[in-house]
Amino acid sequence: MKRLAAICAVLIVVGGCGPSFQSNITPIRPPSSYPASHQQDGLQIGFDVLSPAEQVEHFGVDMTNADVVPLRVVVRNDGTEEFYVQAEQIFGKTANGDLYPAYRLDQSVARVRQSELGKAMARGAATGIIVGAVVGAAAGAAIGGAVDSPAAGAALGAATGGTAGGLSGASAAADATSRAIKSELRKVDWGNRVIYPGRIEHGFLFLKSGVAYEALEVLLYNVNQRRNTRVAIDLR
Amino acid sequence: MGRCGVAAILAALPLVLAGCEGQVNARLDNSIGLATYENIGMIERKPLGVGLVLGEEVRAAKTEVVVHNIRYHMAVGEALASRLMYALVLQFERVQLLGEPMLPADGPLDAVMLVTLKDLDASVSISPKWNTVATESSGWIEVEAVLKDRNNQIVWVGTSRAEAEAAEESIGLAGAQDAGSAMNAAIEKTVARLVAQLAQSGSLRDFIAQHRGAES
Repeated sequence: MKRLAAICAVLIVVGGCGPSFQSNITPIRPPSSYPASHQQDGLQIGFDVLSPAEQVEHFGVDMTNADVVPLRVVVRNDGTEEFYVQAEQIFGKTANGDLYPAYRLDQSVARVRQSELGKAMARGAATGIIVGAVVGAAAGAAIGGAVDSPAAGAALGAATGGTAGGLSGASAAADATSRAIKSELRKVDWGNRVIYPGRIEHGFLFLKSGVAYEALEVLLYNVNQRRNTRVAIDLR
Repeated sequence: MGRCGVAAILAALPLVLAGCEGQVNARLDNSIGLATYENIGMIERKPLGVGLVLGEEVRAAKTEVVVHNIRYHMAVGEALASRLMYALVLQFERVQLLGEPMLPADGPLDAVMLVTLKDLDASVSISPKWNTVATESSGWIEVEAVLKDRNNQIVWVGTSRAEAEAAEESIGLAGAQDAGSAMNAAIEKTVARLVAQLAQSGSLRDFIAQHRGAES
């Protein structure tokens, strides 16, 4: 019994060891105070590429190794007109003029999921489920022991306490990991937005990491004037 | 049969049941709710003819969730399309559902509204309680609507994303119908938000005023 209890305790600790991907509330500043900003017609827009430390502060993890770097977008509209800002019309620009589009939400999720970070998250979740099965089996064995049949008790315990034995549960956990990442990312994803007069909007875009971006190219659509303006905003 | 045999049957039971999947259509409302009426405010229809275009990917949009060997279908596109149409009928003098993203060459329509479903997700968890069935669900929907004039210029854009969670307890099999509760609420929120943006838009007000001026 003591051995079983010790195994259970170790598994419970290990089960909670995956990295935690969670978007936290961090303060935003006036758009013009960010390293890259632009103003027109009463609209201010600011961008900030998050450092690894800032990523940990905001998301609980550093996504650099997942080929993803978060770009914070803050927009304030003190004018009288409406502006439409689409994620697919914001590009990272390199010194030789190459334009890198931001990842779509599903692409960002897939990259994080397939990275070592995502695998570690899935392992943590799967371990939790397998721990459930093993703890269930152990508890069942203990029950079985009490009725002189540890094997029967273990099977019963695994069936009732542990999602029918670990494997199907571990497979489900892989999907659960993608869902968890998606759930957190879409809370903050910029997507496409209209910034109405008097509004402050903020969110994130996700660019390819490891690229020396020198500027951002952004298309701003002034809905009232039916006018597109493409601006290049220096990142340095 | 000995204890080992009973235990083996119990352990194998979930695997056997995995092959017997049921199908349930989760109930979603086709009419707008209070949140949308609140955002419409005064029901005073604007003097404009709007053609609503909902692509096949919107109309036929469905999401499925499998829980305990039951596959829940949610016909999200149909519910969204019906509620949007209803909300627009309360907003504009003339509304017509169009099959193509272009206005008829002549006729009473002045602008075309193109609706895109950007994202859709749902989850359902069902567990038996002492004398009820507890259903927890979540729904997520993201929609974009663009209103274009006869010159194909964008005169209004609405973007709306909504998440909802629901927890219900019902007696017996009625619990299965609670699976769509959160998605129902998410659709309601997203339509209400689009309607609020229609009411808020200075650009749309200008367009209607210009249109009215041109007519008189």
